[in-house]
Amino acid sequence: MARYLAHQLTQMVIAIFGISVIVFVITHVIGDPTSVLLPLDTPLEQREEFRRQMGFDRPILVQYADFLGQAIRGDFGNSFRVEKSALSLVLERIPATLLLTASATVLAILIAIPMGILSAYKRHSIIDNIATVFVVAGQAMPIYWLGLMLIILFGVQLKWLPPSGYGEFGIDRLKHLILPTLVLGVFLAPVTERLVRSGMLDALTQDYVRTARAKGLRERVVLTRHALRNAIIPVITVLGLQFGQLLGGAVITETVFAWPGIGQLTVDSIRNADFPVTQAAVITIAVMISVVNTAIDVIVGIIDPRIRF
Amino acid sequence: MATAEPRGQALTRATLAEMPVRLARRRTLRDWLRAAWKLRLSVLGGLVLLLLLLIAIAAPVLTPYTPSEGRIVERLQPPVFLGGSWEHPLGTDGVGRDYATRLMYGARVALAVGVLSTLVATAIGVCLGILAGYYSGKVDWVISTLVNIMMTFPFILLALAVIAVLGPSFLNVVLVLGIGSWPIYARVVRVEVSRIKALEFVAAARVIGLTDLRIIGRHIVPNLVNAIIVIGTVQIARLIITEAFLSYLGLGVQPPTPSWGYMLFESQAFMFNPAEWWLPMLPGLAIFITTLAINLVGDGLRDVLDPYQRSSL
Repeated sequence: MARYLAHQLTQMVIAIFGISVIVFVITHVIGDPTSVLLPLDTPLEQREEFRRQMGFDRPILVQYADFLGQAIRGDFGNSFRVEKSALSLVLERIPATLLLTASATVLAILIAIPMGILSAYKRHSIIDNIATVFVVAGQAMPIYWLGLMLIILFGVQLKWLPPSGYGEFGIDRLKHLILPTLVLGVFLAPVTERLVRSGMLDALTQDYVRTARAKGLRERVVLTRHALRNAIIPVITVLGLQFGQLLGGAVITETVFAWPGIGQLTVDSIRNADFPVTQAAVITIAVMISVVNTAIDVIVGIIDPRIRF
Repeated sequence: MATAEPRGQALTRATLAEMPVRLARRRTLRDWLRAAWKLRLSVLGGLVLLLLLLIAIAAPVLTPYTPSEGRIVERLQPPVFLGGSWEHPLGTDGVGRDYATRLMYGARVALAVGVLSTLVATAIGVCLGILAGYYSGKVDWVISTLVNIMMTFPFILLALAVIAVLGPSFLNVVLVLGIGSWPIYARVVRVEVSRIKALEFVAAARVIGLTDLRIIGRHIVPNLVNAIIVIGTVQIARLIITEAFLSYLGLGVQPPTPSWGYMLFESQAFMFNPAEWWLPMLPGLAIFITTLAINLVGDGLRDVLDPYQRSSL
């Protein structure tokens, strides 16, 4: 177990390191930091001078070592727009993102599990066909557009729900949460439904299900206690590994609904060339994803010893 | 396998002669219709896609208007289904440009970006996937690690960051989407290559002294084509959605080129007018119909080309 844990942790460090390289390459190698930091009409001499001052003229590896050293200490510098450290700006946005992703995951599971069970149990029935339409449509859906349509319908035309924003703590917050949750739930539910369905299709052909039926158990018990229990493990694993994609969906959802999460902050900082915040946000997201993925791997390793090696 | 056996040719001919005539029969119209009925949703998707392609190509012939010039006096005319006139069947936008015209020209951007960036991604992903699968060892480790990192990290964030640094333009959007989305091909190709590499015909090719390049080109790549087509189709849809999001943020293809994403952004200004809800609805609907059609075609292709990995349907 210790070896397995060590292996997983090494993988995590490699992943975070890899992302830091990618971020560095994007911001310092592909892009010229001075072109973002200085006004467009800055003369060349001033540009060179600024480059020297900021240390952008040093060898690229030295710059990277510097960048990495500061990143490890959590020091990404101050935001260009607000007098605050970039990291603290990022960290204060995490709760909003976690609230949104958690509620969307719950919604996706509430849709996907019953739908997946029924469409596997009654394969090629009307229910299965409806589920398929939902999945195909969900996967083709541009969720930012779905968000705009929901805002127009429930926020503008019917005036049932607030069109965007975070709201005050309490009932107001929940009202603001409904539409973004719907959008991000639609983003996540199709994949989940297919996983549950294929897991259930597989489980229903197994001997233990036949045995359970032969014992005379009720169908409901066979489905939930015997088949679903076994079908759900890969679903949890894949959902965990999908956390990165879920955050990608959150970036889009938060932008549309002005939900003050880490995704909205990232988009905002990118559009305003707020370099330190972008770097802090991207690295923080990478760390969040790596931690969740590693945790899932470790948990699955504990549940199922076959996976360890 | 035929190359491995010197008598393979003769064998095949003999076997063919013994085959029942039934198998050699030419397919009739009825067979085709039956196959098409089985894949009816994919056929429908294909027809819609064909129509979109025609509209995109023939846009200048199909409309008397241009996408970037409007008459301000004719601004915000409702579409026909909301009581507008046939002069502007889908109404006009905030500066009086014909909305149908802009939607038609928008199809050009969506399809072009989707296809081109998918080609870029395929080229990179297939090459790296072959390298990883064929040579294994350290090369494999580096490529696989990169693939794993990129696939767990949200692609949209990398795309946004790169575009912000490079500046938005048609070419940059194509490059960024291509460079950001290659890992999925590399992952699938790598597994396929390491499977094929162990098969007898590759061993045979190596025994008769073929170079690695020739083995890869002649014996391995042809076996990858089906899988690549299946992934590629679905990826086109995904990248169209992503391109539209970049444009929606103003980081995609730049105006005056009309793109569906940018139209969404522009129409957001009218979102809170109770009467102009159709402005943001139409460009999104265009994206949705396009990606839906492509995904349906992709499902059909998977059924036909990749029988081991049956579709989600």
